Amino acid sequence: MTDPALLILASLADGDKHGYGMMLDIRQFAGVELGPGTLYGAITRLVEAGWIRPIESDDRRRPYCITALGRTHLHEQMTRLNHVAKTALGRLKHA
Amino acid sequence: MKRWISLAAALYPRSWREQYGTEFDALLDDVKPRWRVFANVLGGAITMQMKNGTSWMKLMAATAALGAIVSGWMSYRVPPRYESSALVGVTPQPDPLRPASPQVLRQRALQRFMQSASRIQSRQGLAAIINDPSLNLYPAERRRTPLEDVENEMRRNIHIEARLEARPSQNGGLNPLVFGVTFSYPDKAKAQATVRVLTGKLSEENRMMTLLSANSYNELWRAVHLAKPVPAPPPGDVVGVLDAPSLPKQAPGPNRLAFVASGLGAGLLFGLLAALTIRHPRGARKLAGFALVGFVLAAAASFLIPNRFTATAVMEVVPPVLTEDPLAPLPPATSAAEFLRQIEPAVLSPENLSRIVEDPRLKLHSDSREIARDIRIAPLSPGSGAFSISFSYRERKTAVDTVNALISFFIQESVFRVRQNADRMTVIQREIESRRAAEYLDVIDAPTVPPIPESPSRSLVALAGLGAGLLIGAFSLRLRQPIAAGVSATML
Repeated sequence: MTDPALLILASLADGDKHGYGMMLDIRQFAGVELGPGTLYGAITRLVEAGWIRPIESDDRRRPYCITALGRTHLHEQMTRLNHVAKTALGRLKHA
Repeated sequence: MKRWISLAAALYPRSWREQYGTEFDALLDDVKPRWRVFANVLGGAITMQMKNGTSWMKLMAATAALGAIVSGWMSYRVPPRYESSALVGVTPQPDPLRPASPQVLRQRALQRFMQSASRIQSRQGLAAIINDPSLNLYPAERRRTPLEDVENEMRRNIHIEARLEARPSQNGGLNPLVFGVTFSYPDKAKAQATVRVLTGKLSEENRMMTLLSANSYNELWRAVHLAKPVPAPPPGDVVGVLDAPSLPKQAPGPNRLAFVASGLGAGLLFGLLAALTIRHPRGARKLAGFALVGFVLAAAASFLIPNRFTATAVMEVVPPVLTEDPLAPLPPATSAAEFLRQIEPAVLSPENLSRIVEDPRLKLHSDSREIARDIRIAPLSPGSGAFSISFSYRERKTAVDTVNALISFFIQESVFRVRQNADRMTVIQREIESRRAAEYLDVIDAPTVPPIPESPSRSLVALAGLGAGLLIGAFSLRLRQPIAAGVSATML
């Protein structure tokens, strides 16, 4: 799974994070290093879709949180991915 | 690098920067500045500009400006080349025994000097300078490339040319002819040392030519007139350095305007490709696929095109040192262009071309017309006494052997001309045949062929394939789906 948007949603699912925090978290749990341009391109699209939103902060590093809509979308995507993964693994076992 | 990344970040749309700029800059402060990060931020800025409804023209203007800035910066990173120059004066010496007009004396002096210059710039002459351990020129190139390529490189860096400015006469006689000798090299001390060697060799070559000419004259006189005292032979020219080789302080920089213009062009092209890729990712992928297939096919096809090797030799027209009357003035010198005009039709006569075609040792599989098309004979420079003979063929050895055959035809023709002149000189008879009663020809550079064929240029063919692939791709896209004006943002 390398889709930056899904990786960001997955990262925010366990708590609010700012950009650099997301980068470190994603590198740790997915082994993917997102560049600043890619990360903020995806953040912009997610905010526009209403799946994440910024949290008011005095710090220059503004944190983001996942919205209810974002959680639903992430759940749907992960369920679908899980189904595909299970099917593929089952077929590999019987092959 | 941090400055470059900040510059790329500033290229994001203003409205986006108002919303995300502060936190994005904070993130850039946290990440390690690397080229990869710069490329990623620049790519993000271009993508965002496109999605923000920025016009193609605006994007292209931005990338062109960026290209111009980067290439302008690169132009300052190009290693400098220093140019050392010297002025050499050649004073024709009047001959009291054989008075000639100043114009004739100057013309002969000019040709003799250019003859010396051609000899110094011959393969053998340049190899001696390149291999001089005290100069140690082109060390990296000598390790990487064959000596012949290094000689060609050095020949490009040397300029020996007549200067227009007149110098006052030093001895009340003829004004010296002034020649500029320049050499450009990345090391200023070596550039100066090389010009010093070149001027020294020019002077030495002139001395040798005068000596050989006088010896030839004396021998001939003794052979013909036996016991009669030998009159003074025609004097040579006096070659001296007028301005010593300079030690350049500042290197003229590269053509910065050309650098910036190329960066501008590359930026425009990049902007166009970026716009196309972002707006029509599927179409761009297809186009890239066609271009790649075209490139690979053309590169493969280039190996099916037969190689062509070009053998080149250089000959020079050596002016006569004798006339019918040994005390008569020498005739004006003949330039290579004039000499070729007189002799070339005879050398490339249908009979001679047929002899080449029918020679079993040459193994030529072409007819006379094709051979004539692949032969190139031209003076090395206007006014010079040297000329080059080239022949292109698919086998290296045949190319070299054919040039050798052409050289022998040239020599036969020039000997024939000497005999014609000698026949007119009833006094000197056969002695003159081997002497210098007319122009004779000397081979300065024997024919050689570079190990790499001159054609086909595989990279050029492959590039043509790339272009053809792009064209076919664009045409197919146009046929299948007219490019839509709008773009749908890729959302998850």
